[in-house]
Amino acid sequence: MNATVRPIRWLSVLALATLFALMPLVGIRLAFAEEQPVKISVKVGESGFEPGTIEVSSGQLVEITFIWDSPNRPNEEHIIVFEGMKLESEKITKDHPQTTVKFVATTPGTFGFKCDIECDLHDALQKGILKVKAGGGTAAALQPSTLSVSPTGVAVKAETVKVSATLTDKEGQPIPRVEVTFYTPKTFLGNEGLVEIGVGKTAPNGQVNLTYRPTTTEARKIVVRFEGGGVYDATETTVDVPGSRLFGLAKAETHVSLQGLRDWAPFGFLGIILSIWAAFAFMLFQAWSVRRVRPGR
Amino acid sequence: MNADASWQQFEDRVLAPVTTTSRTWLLLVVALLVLTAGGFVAYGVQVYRGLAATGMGDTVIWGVYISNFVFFSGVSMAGTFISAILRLTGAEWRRPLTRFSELTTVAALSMCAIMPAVDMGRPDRLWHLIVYGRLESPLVWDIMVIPTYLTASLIYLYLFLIPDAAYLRDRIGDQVSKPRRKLYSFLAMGWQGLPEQHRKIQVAGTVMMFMIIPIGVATHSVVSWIFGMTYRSGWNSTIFAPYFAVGALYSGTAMLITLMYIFRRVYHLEEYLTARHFRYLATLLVAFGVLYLYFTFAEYLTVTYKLQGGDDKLLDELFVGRYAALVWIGFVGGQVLPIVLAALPWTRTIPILFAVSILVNVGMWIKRFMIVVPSLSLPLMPYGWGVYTPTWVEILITIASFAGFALIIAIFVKLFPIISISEMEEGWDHRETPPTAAARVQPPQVQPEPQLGGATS
Repeated sequence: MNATVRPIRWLSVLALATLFALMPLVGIRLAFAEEQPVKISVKVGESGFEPGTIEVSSGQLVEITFIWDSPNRPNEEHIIVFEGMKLESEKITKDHPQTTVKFVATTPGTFGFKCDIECDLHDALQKGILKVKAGGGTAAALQPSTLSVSPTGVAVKAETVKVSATLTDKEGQPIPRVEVTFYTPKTFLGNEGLVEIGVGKTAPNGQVNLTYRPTTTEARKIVVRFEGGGVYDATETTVDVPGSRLFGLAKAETHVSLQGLRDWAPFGFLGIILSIWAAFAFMLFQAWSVRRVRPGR
Repeated sequence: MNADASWQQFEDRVLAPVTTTSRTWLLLVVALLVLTAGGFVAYGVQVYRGLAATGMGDTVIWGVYISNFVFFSGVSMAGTFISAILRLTGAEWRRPLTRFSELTTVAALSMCAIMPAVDMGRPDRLWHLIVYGRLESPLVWDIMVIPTYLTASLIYLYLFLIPDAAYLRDRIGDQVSKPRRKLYSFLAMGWQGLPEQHRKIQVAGTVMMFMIIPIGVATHSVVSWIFGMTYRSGWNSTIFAPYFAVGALYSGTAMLITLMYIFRRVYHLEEYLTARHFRYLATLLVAFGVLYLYFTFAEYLTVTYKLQGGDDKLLDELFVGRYAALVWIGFVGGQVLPIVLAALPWTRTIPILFAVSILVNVGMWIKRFMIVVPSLSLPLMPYGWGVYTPTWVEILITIASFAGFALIIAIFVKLFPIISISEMEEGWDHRETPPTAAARVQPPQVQPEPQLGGATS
């Protein structure tokens, strides 16, 4: 019995070990299968998008490549935006004829996409429809993103607060052309909430800047939020902003600028007013000194 | 001092309101006090109920208070400005006018200074504006320049009042009550007419003349900038500062004519406030009026041509819409008609000039209302037009502000001569001979004026 059982046991152990050894590979393979995007090419021509309608299933990772196709109008350029999805492509031109937009179709529905360049012709022709059908498959995973504000990213100068935030993916690569919103916590009628104080799009280096003039001078928090978009998940960070010093001229402008003039102009105005009042005092003194004049002078 | 009969007659005329109290004056003051008290009651209601007691809301946030503010600041402009300009240029004909002008400025500015505080709803908000206001805000500039201009006008009025206060102290000190005697004595600052005293007052007065003109211009510019610095259809203009300054000179000159006419009639000052004064002021009125028309044309032409933002909707409402009646009444009645009547020699009579001055003031008040309210009524979001109708509280306070303006003048003329005695004395030898009974004002080219003796005018 023992002689029969031992090889079976060893074979079983070997089979299990093989299975365990192969499982990661299977897992990777499965994951890879899930992350494989649906690739679609769209020609952006003189008469519009070709195809003009795209259909995908919800949860799918979608990769749409827009290809410039205006040989008769070499100066044509396009930036494609997806309405309601906060997605924006790079600009495509004759010299840079191709751009890819990648996203997870999270929400079923019908979305428009169009060329965002201000032009009546573009408004009329460059319009397409993205239909996201409700799908039953496993949704592709959104990639994590990170918003960071470096210590030098917060600057308080006189009454102006500047915040610089950078949005990156999990590998530290910048995420460009997406919307980032800045909020400050406020209490209104006993309710606490976030008040939007600015919104901006990230630059190619993933950076977005806020220049903000608070109405009060105390220290505050500023919430920087990316609400997700494309293949990236939402993220936010909170930064502490020290109290701004009203008329904090210790940090003087290093150059004369319009902003510098704006900072100084009120003081000039105040100086003029004070000089005028000093002159008034002189006039009244002059009138008062009439009393001291004696005959014979 | 010149002791001839005509001088004696002049003294009697200008001192009569100071030394005697007529029943008419008493009734007038009581009526004005009642109206002013009505304003205080209305303000009390406003403090108690908040700005909900007014017709202002979250869209039309300014109404008649700010219209009054701009109107009174305008009225104040011409007074001191004309007085300072005429003094600096040595115009002899100014002498009976200077006190009128300076008093008009002080009375109008006093009401003007009150209006923003009333508009804020509660008095403590004025304090908030001072403590928490930002220097970049034109509203704070207003809070700074209006008291500055008022103080400058008070000092300017006072400096040239010192010799008259001394005159009253010496001449009627024994006929008036002790507090008034003390008041004259205090204000006279020991004035004895010594050369050194003259020199000191002259120095201070000359400096004030030079200062008060830019202060006045700056004040009206700042008043205009509470509108001009705002991105709003109808306000978003670069020419508002000179536009307002010229409008102020126009309405201020008209108010001067109104007051001159009233005092001339009531206190029988026909010999001193002559047809020539009215004619010269009418000429100024026409000049300022034409300039104001030009600014109106320039402003509306550029806006109409561009039709930026909501300008098209605003202009529709102004010229053919809900505000059209008021706009055209203000334009024709307050600008075109008065200019024509004051410019034509055969309509330039003193009574018609008085009517013209009233037309100008009514028209200019309407104009200020049309600057303030329609622009605020224009919706910035896709909602309906803002609606504004002044409530009884605002109407009572407005009436009280005009009553307060008149009250300051009425009390002043009870205490001090409305024509400067010392200035008239200095120029007595150059004065104009008494006019004929006819009040008709002849055009300058047909009226010989040999009696001016080469004085600058």
